[in-house]
Amino acid sequence: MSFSLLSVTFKALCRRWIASLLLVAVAAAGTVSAFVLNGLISRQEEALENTKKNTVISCVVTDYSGSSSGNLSMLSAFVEMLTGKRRERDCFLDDYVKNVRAMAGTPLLSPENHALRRILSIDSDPLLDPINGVSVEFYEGYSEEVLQGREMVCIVAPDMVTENGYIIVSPDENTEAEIKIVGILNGGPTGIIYCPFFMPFEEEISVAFYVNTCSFDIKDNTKLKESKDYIYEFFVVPDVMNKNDGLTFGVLVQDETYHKSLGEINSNLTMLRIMLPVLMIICGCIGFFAGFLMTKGRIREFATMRCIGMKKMQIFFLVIGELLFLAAFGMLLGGGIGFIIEGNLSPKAISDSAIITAVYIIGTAIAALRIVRINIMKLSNKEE
Amino acid sequence: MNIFLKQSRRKPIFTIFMIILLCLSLTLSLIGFSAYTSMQKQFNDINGDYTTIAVLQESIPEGTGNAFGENFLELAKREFEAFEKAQKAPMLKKEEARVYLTAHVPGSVSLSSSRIDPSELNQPYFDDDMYSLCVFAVECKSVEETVFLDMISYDAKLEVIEVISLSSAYDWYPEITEVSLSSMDYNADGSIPIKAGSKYLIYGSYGEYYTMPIIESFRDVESTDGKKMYSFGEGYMQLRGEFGTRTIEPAAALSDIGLYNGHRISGEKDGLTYYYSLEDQLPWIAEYTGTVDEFLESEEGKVWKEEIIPLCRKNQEGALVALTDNLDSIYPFSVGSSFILEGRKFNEKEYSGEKNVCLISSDYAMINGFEVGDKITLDLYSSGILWLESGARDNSAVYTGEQGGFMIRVPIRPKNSINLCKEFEIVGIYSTPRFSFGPTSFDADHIIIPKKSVPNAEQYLGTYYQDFTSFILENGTIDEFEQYMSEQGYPDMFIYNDQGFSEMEETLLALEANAKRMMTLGMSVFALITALFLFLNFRRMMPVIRGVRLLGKNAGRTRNEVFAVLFMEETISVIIGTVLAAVLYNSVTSAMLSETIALDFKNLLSAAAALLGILGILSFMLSGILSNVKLMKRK
Repeated sequence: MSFSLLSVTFKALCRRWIASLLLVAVAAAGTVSAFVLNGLISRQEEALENTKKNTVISCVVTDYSGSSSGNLSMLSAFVEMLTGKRRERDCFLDDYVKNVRAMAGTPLLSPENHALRRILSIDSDPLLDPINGVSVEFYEGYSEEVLQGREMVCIVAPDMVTENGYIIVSPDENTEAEIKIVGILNGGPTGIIYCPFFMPFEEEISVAFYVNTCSFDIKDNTKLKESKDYIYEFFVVPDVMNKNDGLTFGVLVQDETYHKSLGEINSNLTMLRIMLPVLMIICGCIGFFAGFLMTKGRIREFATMRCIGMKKMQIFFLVIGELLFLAAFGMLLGGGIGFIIEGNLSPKAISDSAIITAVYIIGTAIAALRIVRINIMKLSNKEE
Repeated sequence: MNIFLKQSRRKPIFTIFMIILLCLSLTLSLIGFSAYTSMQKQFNDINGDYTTIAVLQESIPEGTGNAFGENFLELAKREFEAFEKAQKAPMLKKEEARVYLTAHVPGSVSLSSSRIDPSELNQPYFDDDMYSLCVFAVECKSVEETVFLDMISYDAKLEVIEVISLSSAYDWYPEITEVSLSSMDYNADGSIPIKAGSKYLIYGSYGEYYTMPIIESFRDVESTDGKKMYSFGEGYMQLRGEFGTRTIEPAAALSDIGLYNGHRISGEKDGLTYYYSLEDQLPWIAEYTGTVDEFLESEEGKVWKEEIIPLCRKNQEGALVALTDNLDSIYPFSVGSSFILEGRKFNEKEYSGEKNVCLISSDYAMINGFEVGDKITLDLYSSGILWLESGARDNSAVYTGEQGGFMIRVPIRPKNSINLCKEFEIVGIYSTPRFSFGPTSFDADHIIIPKKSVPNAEQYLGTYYQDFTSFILENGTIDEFEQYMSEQGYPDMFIYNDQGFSEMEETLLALEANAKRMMTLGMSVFALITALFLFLNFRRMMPVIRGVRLLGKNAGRTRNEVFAVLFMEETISVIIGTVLAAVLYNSVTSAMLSETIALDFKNLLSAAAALLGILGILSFMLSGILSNVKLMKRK
């Protein structure tokens, strides 16, 4: 009996193929919606995290007022703080900043008409910007990292390379140092000898000097506020009202675009988060009404079933069975499409799609219940 | 009575539920559409905050030794060709060339290098020849003529009687008592225009960058062939002519590049060559007797009082004006070495020239006491600028060596006025290195205004078009552009900066993908529910359609009646769906205080009208097809 009933039901489903297809499509649409809507948020969140991680937020050290970022006349101790050389004095700025770029110029008595520039990296001096057609070639065994150390080495223009590979410099009458040439500046400025920022003229003797320019990047953008707070314990927010005591320097954090972009994306995420349940409810409602209306339209069919002796509950379960079959098929189909679109099967999407399908089945069940509860005579009358 | 309407009314629950179903799908679609438009707007907004530029890299080696050799010519030609190829790149969004004008800012003081601590940069060229124009009353103490090869020049020692006009930038200098004059400017007959023991007014360019103050005689000169020229004391300096423009072969133009070897008016005296200025020019020297005031009141002094001294003052109150359509396309602003310190950048309206606004540097603001919101008057001149490719050597305590190309300010001259004088509101103050070198240098004496503030600004592009051009690329196309240039045979010629767009790109792509998904989802659900709506409606109506057709009602009338009922239901659904979508979307987004994701009601209405149109067309077509049922072939 039950087998023949299932067979009849299946035949009926096939015969009403358009209606069956639409019901499958409605169930599939609900599942796809759940997948897509859940994917929107996770995709956006993941991309946002990557952006936060990868975006470079530059900070420029300026004078107290912010009017100048060149010729700062800032003591080199500030750069020591930024590069973690003052941790023993409870300054942990290097925990919050990275890629410190600093340049300090020292006039030289000898060679005549030459200057020494202390740099922490090649990009510490705008004159070495590739836009100027400059390229730096380090000798074997040396790299840009040497500029962060204290070795007595230098980079010079090709015409300054000496036979013994050393150059003698003299910043004042009492000091003379022999510096090893470890690289060549091609297409760069002439008359400038570039050396490691912290290079002493005599070994084991640290010197303090004035820094011309300094900039750095934020180490961890997710801790931007914390980083800024800590930076401003040592520097100030540039303002003409600041005290010009020669020891006050500003830091301008160039995070305006970053904040603006992040603000937009965060508002978008918030919108999606609030919108998601609303859209889920709408999808559920659509499923409910679709199921209800499709089932309600089969009243003639149910009347015939009752006339040939089928019980109310039998018809009810038959309808639910049909719908479960179509819904399951639709859910699988929708899940497949959702997986193709989103590329993953998130548990949240699966549970949401199950809820939408359940709402859809409830709609069908209510319609079926309403129909089967009607008196057989009324059903017949309706048929007439 | 429309029988289909009656049918609908007889089964109200079915009809209401159908309307609700359609209405919900419309709500979903319209929310999807609103979210799509919001996300698109956000995408465009964020995308618009980033400017990707490609700037021609300097490939000509520094140093005058190389500047005019064959290698230089080849490299310059290659740069020129690469520039032309880049202009045709498919991923090029805009070619942004900065225009330079000069302005007289009445009542202001110029940001002369002499005004700044000379230990930072006492680079004389930054003051020449605009900010350092002066008029001195002097007494000549001695004159000495010098012969160099076949040319003659003279040096004069002058005692300063009175400084008649000089920029206040020099006020802090020790009192000027003596100046020297080195000149090749002779009288037309070859005589030296100055002699010991006489008193003179001298109009020239002042500099205190050598051990002895020096004054270079200055004369405003227009050459006979119409080329712009001006005297520089040591000879005639000619602007670089057509080099850099696209109208001639660069190789031919390069022969004309010599900065100090341009057109000269030469004479010969005892087999030696001397130079003299054209007639009808402003005099640079005038002998006088009595007092300076008496001379200035005389007929001969009239030109000094009414033209030369006011002209000096104009130049001392001058500034360079950079005109741009996109501040972020200027390399230092793009990479962040120049940045807005206070106020803001220009907005779109300002770029379109609706409002006269400007940006000034913090240094310029400080010395003049300007603040954001203040208005300054700019009287604009197309004086041109002079770009020295290399050879700059300053004498400051900190810097030395050859630093790269730099800009020389050409003086304001009445004939170069573009007859445009108006007030500009300061909307932002930027910070930049006060004086810089290299092809992308941007000094603090620049006042930046939107290009559209000046009608037909492009006509003032000048000869350095190539040096001041940034190619604005579509964001995210740096690799494509470089590949295109490589295919054209010019790899590694450009430097790029995208202001961090590449880091933001992933998020933007996700945003764009989400927008598309929302839209697709909304439209798919709409399409599905529309199919369901029409299917269920026609399943219910078909027996009635057949009935009325059997009773003799013609197909057209039946179609119209069916369509009327369907369209009515659809209209009700669209109205309710639109209101519901607007209310839901607005209540969600209004709390977020973001303009970009706020509900755009106009767009929503347009979308709703479009959906109603689609529904109407589909209903009409299906009503027509199904009303035309073959009565004899169907039970």
